[in-house]
Amino acid sequence: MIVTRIEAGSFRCFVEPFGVSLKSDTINLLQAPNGSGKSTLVEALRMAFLISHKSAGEDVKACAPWGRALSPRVTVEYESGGTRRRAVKQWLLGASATLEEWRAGEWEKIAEGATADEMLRQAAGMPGGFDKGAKGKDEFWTSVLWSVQGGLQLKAVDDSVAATVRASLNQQMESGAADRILKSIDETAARYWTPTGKAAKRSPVAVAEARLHEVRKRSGEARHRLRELETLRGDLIDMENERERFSQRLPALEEQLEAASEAQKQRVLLEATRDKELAAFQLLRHQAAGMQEDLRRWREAVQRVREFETKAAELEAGTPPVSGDPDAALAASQTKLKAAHAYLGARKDRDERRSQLDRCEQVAGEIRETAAALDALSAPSAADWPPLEKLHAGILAARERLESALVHLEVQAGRQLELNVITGEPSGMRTLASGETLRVSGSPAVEISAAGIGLWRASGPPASAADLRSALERLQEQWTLLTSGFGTHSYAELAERRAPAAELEKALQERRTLLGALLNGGTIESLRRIVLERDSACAAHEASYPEWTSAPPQPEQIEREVQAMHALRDARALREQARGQAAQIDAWTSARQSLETLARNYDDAALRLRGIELQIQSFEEQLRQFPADLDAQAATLAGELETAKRRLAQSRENSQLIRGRIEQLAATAPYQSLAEADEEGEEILRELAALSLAADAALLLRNTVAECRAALLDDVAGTVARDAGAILNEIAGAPLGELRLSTKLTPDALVPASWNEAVDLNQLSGGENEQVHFATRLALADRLSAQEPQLVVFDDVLMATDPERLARILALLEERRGRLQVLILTCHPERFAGLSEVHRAPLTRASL
Amino acid sequence: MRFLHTSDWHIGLKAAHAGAAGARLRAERFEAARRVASIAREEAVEFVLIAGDVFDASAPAPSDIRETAALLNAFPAPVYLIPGNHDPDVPGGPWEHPAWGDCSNARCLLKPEPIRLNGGTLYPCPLRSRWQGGDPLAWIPVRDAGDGIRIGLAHGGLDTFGGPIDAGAAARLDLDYLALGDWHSASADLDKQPRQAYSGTPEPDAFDQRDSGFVLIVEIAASGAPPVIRKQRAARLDWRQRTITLRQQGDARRLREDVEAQASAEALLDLRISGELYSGDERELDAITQLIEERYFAGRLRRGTLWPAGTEAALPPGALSLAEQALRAQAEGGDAVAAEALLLLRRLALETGA
Repeated sequence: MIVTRIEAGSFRCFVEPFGVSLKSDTINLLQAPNGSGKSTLVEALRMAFLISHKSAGEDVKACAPWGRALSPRVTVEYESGGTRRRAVKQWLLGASATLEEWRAGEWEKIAEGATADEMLRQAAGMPGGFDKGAKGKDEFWTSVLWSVQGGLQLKAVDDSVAATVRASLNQQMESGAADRILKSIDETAARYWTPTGKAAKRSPVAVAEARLHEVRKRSGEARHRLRELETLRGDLIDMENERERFSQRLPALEEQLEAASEAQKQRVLLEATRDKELAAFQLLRHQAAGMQEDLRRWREAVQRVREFETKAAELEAGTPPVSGDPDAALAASQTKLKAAHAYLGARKDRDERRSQLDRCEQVAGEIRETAAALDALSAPSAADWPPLEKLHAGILAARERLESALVHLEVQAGRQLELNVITGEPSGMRTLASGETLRVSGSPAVEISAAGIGLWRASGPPASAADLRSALERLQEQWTLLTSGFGTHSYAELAERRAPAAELEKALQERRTLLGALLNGGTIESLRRIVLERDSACAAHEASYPEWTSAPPQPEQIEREVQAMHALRDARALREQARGQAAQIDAWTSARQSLETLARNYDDAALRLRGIELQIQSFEEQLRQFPADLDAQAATLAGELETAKRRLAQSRENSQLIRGRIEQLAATAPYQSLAEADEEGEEILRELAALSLAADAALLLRNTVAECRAALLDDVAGTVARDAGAILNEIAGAPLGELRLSTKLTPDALVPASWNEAVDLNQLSGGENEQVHFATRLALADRLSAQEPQLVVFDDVLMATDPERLARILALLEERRGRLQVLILTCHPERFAGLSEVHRAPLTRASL
Repeated sequence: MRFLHTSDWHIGLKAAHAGAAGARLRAERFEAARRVASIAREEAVEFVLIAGDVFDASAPAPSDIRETAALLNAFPAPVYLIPGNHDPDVPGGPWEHPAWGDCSNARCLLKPEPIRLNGGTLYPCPLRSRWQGGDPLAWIPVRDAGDGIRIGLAHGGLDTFGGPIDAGAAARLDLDYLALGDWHSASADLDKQPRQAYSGTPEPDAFDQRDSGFVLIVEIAASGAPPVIRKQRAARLDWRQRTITLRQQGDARRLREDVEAQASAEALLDLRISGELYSGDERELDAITQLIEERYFAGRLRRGTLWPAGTEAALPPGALSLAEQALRAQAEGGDAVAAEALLLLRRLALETGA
């Protein structure tokens, strides 16, 4: 924005309207003495663009001429965005804001009121949409561009300035040659990479990699064929080696098998001969065994004849001769011996039983006597007595309870009384003599009347004694019933009988136990029958052998008789056997001539057997020389031979197949294919290496440039500091140092060129200090005027700057003609005499 | 007795390091073999010994086998060769190819058994696997009266370098000469071991090979006489390596002029450059790359860390100027990507006319 005319009326010292016209393409110098209203004009300019027409604060009121109720009024004409506009604002009374645009040779209102206020603030650098938050103190770009009197020090820079500087930096980077290079960088990188840095699908690298993949596939196939070839060759060599081994083994196997077969034949022949001899041996051995048996029996028979004769003689020697049939005598003796034993047994048993019977009968008599005494006592038994005792105790208790339940009235007559027991027992009329006592009991009351005397009535608890009496009666009836068999109902008597009865019961029990033990489960009758049976048996034996009646038999004697009978019989039998053996010997002798002949024949046979046996042993020894597993060996050898032949044939067949495959593979020239593929692959690899390098370089370049751009944009303060530093150095005429700005874009420190440490601005001279701030303002103004020229105002500034540096400052300002509209207000026009071209703008009366 | 000793032809070479030039390097292996044949003819040798690694692999292309067999068949003298560790005698390997049936001039010695030569005996030591263990010369018998000049033919490094072959094998086995293969550089210690030598490959196949590209012409007057060994160059290609640091304005231009002046269709150039680039230097580097492609057999310009010289005109102030400062600081710290980014920034500034 540049300003072409400023007018103010009713504004501080300007009661009457005054104005000044400015030129856009040169430095405007408003020179006037102190108090002429130069700074007021700058204030009017500031209010026109920044202060709402509705504002009525003290600062606005202060703008009204002193002591006059006038409304301050400002008119400003300016150019912005190629259009010429005029703002007319009035504050306080009749406040208004109007914005007009020069169209077709006349002013045309385009906005008024708040809208006009907003558009004016935007012209002063307010970002769009900021109006609602704008306050009177917001100065936007004017905080930098307009330096009021004594206010060159840049204490605060509006945020809108930093935003605009950043935008201008970006624009600078994307313009001209830099823009073309940046585009080329992006285009180059885009050949290889996506915007996010991933490899582009159809990048030259990808294409080369695809080709490489294809070539490697071919190479792999060729290698596979070569490997197969090598494997097959190895297999073939192995097969040939194996075949060689089998070829060498075959004759040996055949020879071994032939030897084994021959051995088998010899063994069969030998076994046949041995078996024949073995058969002869067995036959002869059988015959010899028969002879040997005959000899044994013959010799034994002779021996037995002798033994029989001897033993019979011995038996007969100690035995008296027996008349009659010895066998019958032996049987009679044996029968007598058996009978003697039976008789003696029966006798003994009979005597023992009889003694037992006597004892039993004695005890039984004692039992009978004791039982009779017990019956005579007529006492309750031990079993009956406890219930009786219990019953008796119950009667006593019932009687006591009844006694307790009755009302008793005892009358002792002092004289004779005629009593009538109305209620109670005994009831009825009775006469009671003097000194006689009557006890009347009843329940629940007893009433007695005495004629002529009166009636007595005694009463007890309401409970009736009828039930108790009834219960007592039932018990007494039971007692009477149970004791009826003892001849008395007296408990005391029964109890007295009970003691002797208990003694008798004990004795009775002991006798019975003794009898039971004596009888041992039987009875006296059965015992008596046994005794009778034994008597009968003894009598029967005695009938057969009467002599035993007087003297019992001696079994030992009878036994000796029996043994003597036996010896005689045995002797007779032996002699019979001896005769039989002798007859047999006679028979053998007639059949075989003699025992000696038989023995000789047997010896001959034994010799022959031994000869055959040795022969057989020889055969066995020969057979043992053959391997035990000769057949298995032969079978194994035959199997091995067969296997070897089969494998040999199989190996030959496989070799043919493998050879065919090897020739087939070799015919495809796999090594040449591999060579060609590897060479092509190497060529592609080289290309790929170059392409990868180019791609990586393109990406690195793109990323580096982007990073630098971002850093630059982020470092607005650094950029402006560099620009301001350059201006400061120009002002100083030599490198003064490196200027540092705060993040708010205000000067912060200076690092002198000859010093590495930052120097606080307060340590600088007054002139250099104001030059630092001037340089910073100018650097920022340069950025703010990047899009269109801007008005910069310096109101009586640079007063401490020496003429030489001031001249350089003016030169810097002159350099910026066309980009910056400069308005210098001063009361020292001689300081600006060096300006080559200047518009000296006079304050003139205006027509407001 | 006069013969030619060569080895390590590596027909069908896989030259991955050569990139696109691999196919032409493979073709050069045959050319080298033909030059060996020419030398044999010129030297009028009685026979040729190839000490292994005729092929680069045990599965070469059948066409390479056929061409090799035809080439050997056309040699002016009988050729005796053994399989090496690269082309061992394995099933289905190159030595079983039917092409050898038509190659009567060359004998592939696949068994360790003596071969009678005119005036001597050859003891071949073929390899049957790439990683065959043990001493391949172990089978060579002690000298017999009728052996004449005893020549060993083997493949493998010396035991002093971790290989399977005794460094003093020739003396120990009483060989008049032991023709060795495996090492690509011609190598012989004639003072200590005057009777054994590595011929090296007749055509180098890498930049780092020294003293390779030869065949050996061996003359032995009689059994027990020291062999006379002479190197004869067989290589055509010139493998050059240069490392240049650009330091001042004009260095890039001078380098380009030098590369141009030294250009040869038989030369391979591995040029590594680093340093500061001035205005116009990148164009010089492009020109060098083009020269290598067009006027050299093969090669490459390898860019180390390059960055624009600090004396160049200033960029527009602001982000770009700051970015340049930041990148330069990184580049000076050895960051190659930052250096490349600096170059890019400078290039884009030039292109956009800034």
